[in-house]
Amino acid sequence: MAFLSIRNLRKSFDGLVAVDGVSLEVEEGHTLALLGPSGCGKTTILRCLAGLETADEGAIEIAGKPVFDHAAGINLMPEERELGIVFQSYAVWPHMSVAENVAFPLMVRGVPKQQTRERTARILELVGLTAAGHKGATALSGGQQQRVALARALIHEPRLVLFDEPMSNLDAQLRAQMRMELSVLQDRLAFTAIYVTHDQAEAFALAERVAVMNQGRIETVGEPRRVFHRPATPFVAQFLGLNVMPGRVVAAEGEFCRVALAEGVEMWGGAASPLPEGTAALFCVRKEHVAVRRLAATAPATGEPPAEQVFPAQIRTASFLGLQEEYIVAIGGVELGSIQPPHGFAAGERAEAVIRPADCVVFADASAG
Amino acid sequence: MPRPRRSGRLAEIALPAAGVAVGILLILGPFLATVIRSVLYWEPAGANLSLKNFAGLLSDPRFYQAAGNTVLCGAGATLMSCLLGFSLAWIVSRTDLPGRRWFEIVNLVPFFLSPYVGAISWIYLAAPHSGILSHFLSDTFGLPPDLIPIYGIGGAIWVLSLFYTPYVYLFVIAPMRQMDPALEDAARVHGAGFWTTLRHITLPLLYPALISGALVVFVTSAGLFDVPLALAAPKGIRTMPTEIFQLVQYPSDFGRAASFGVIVLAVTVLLTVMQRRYLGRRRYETVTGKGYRPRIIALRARGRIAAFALEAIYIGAGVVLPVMALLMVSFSSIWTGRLDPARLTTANYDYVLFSYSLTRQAILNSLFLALVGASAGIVISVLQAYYVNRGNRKRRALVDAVLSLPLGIPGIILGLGFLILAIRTPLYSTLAIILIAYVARFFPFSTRTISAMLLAINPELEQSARASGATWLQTMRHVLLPLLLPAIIAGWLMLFVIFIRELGATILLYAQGTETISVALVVLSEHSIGRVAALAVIQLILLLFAFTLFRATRASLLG
Repeated sequence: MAFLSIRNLRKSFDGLVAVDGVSLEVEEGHTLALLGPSGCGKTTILRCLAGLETADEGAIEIAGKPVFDHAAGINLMPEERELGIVFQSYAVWPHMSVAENVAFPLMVRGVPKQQTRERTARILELVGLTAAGHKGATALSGGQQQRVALARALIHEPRLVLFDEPMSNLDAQLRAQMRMELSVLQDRLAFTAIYVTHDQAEAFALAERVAVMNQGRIETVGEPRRVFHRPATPFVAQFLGLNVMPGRVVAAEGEFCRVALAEGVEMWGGAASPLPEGTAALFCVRKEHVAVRRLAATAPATGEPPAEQVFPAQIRTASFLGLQEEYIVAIGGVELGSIQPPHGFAAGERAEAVIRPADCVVFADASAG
Repeated sequence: MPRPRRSGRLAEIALPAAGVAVGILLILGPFLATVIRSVLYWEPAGANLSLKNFAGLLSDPRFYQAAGNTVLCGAGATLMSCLLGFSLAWIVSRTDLPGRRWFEIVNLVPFFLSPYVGAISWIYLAAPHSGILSHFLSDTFGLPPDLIPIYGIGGAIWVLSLFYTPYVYLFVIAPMRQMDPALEDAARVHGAGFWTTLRHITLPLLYPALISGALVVFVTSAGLFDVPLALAAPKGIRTMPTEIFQLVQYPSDFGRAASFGVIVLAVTVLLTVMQRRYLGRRRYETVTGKGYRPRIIALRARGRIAAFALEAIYIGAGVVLPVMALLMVSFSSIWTGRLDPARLTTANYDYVLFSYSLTRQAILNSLFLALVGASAGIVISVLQAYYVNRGNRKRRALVDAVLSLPLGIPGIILGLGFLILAIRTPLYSTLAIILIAYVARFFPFSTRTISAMLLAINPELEQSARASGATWLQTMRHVLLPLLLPAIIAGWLMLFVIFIRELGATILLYAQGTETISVALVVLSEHSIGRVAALAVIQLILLLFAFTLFRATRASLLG
């Protein structure tokens, strides 16, 4: 039995469906990341878990105890669910000191003063705020307020900790640092967590499992590596930043198929499911897998499908990213994004694009009529 | 083009400074007059500098009775207004009570009505043996007909609370709406129930707004002349404003009145300074400029009934019942406490509108004072608001603090100051001195309204006009004033409303021929209650007309 289980959760606001029949399970001590663009319903799920919203249908069980069950008429108040939460805005109370903020969950539980002091000191040390305990909470920087919110969410040792885009107000450097610290904290305290974010790097770094959401539904859920390397749907591919191009299957060969893209350009790719000839398809390839090289005299490899396909190409735009360069590469009428080690190509230059069929995924295009 | 530029620069510096200077003179004049008069003591040989006025006042037990009753009135009204204002604001901004958008507007109506008329109508409603409610309660439930103690401190607190609740309501509703809902959500998730969250999170976060509102209510309700005149004086209960009024009636003792005034001024200024320091220490950034959607709480059946009941009691007691009583009395030839169809008449209206020269003149005077006063007030308010937001950085805070002083000074005290200033000059017994006193007492209200809007206007809008070649005056005319127009209209209407109903300052400054509607109500109340009611209805119509216009501007009431 999973530690947290969500069954068939539905919630709409004024007729607008925010969560559309979501079921999820999380093991004890694990972190599940809910990843998706804004408005996909991930925060609504979190708020339903916390009891801050009441779902229209479904059931939620935490540690074997139902906290919400529409059919059975169960709906525990937020304060009855024994949770911790970290908000995007931190929600650190400005009229209290850091220590008062952090001790609040113990105060409302009537924990004796001496014990409260000790536990507050311990958790403040854990998040690196020992010196700031007596300070007014709003005198702190964003990163420090984030730590206060974190300490407050952990001090009462809740069975489940909820994170609502906790890092999105921090700058990139601080975000990377907090991500590391949070990982370490979780290893030490072994709490179960739901982590809502739109940042894939954050989700992959922190979670044992990642659920990608779109329009109130779960597109895919799995280990970060699997979600990343084998995008389960065209939406996931697009959300993770792959090139996604519409086309039509013109040949199928085992696990592979050849797809005709715009203006007669044809490419081989691995089919996500068997696709017969004539199927409308979406051809997906990661930018890092669109290799670009100087024009070479070597003859292209042959075979059906070939191990690599080589296309004459032209660099449309080139931007320098530091350790990498990003290009937009035109192959005939097809434009692809490409991220490569710095080759120093300039816009307008002719080049060769090399794409391995095994790196490409082809989906049936459900949206095409 | 050096010439127009130079004159432009002159206007840029001189005009706002002139607005500030006029404001400071308007405060300083009566202030100094009161202080100086308080230490002048006439002996047979002539006037002497002395503290005998204070000594006389402080050894008089009536002073302590008046002070005690006034503090009691103010404290009671503050407590009730805070409770009511906070609850009503919470109901309309944070719950799903049906009709809350409608209630949101109607809760503000008492803000625009006259407290004096409110007090009179509550006499019609609740006076022992003759009140409409008294009759209703004794007829229906067999209760004693003198059950409701409308005359006295309790009655005064009740009527004051009805009229000052919107102040607290306005102060807390905006921060209540703009507060990050996550602040309360975090408390709930971490184990606090609804009431614990209210006590430890919501209320403390709203303290700055609540305390600002409470202070305004305390100083203005304690200093208000209207309600004690109608409800406390008839029972011989002394209060500060009625006592000062008595002291300048024949045989008058201006020295003692002035020393009373000085003590009130000192207390008012002290409270204002304390409030500024308190707010300076704890101004929370609960409002981050981010558009938060407040969390709306779904009321259960019992909560819904309680919320409805509170709204019904407030709007019933503050608006519906008083207006109903006024209408019934004003259309009756003789009032016995029950509506008698045989005695319906329009004679009262005929009398106050056409037959009686005093009320006819009073209506014209009030209209003149309100129209001219509001226009004059708004001009200096715009200039002052400009200075406070755009002028000399070093002096802004001080100027703002000085110009806000009259906010707390009771009208009767300022009236006394102007009376002392003008009594031996040709200004005495003219409409002009009343006009000056009105502007002096109330310009901070419109300055605040305009200042609040100016604060939200990015100075770059003006700077780009200047960079495009416009002079300061052109920039004002084509850029800033059009942007400020909603606040200007709102400020003007607010002054209009205040001037139409003002009584505390007028009662000391009016003379034969310069009566206003409110003064005429007091004068008439010695003759016929039907005519009082008719004149009150006419005033009410003017006030409600202004309220309707105000709704159309959609501007905010408090800065």
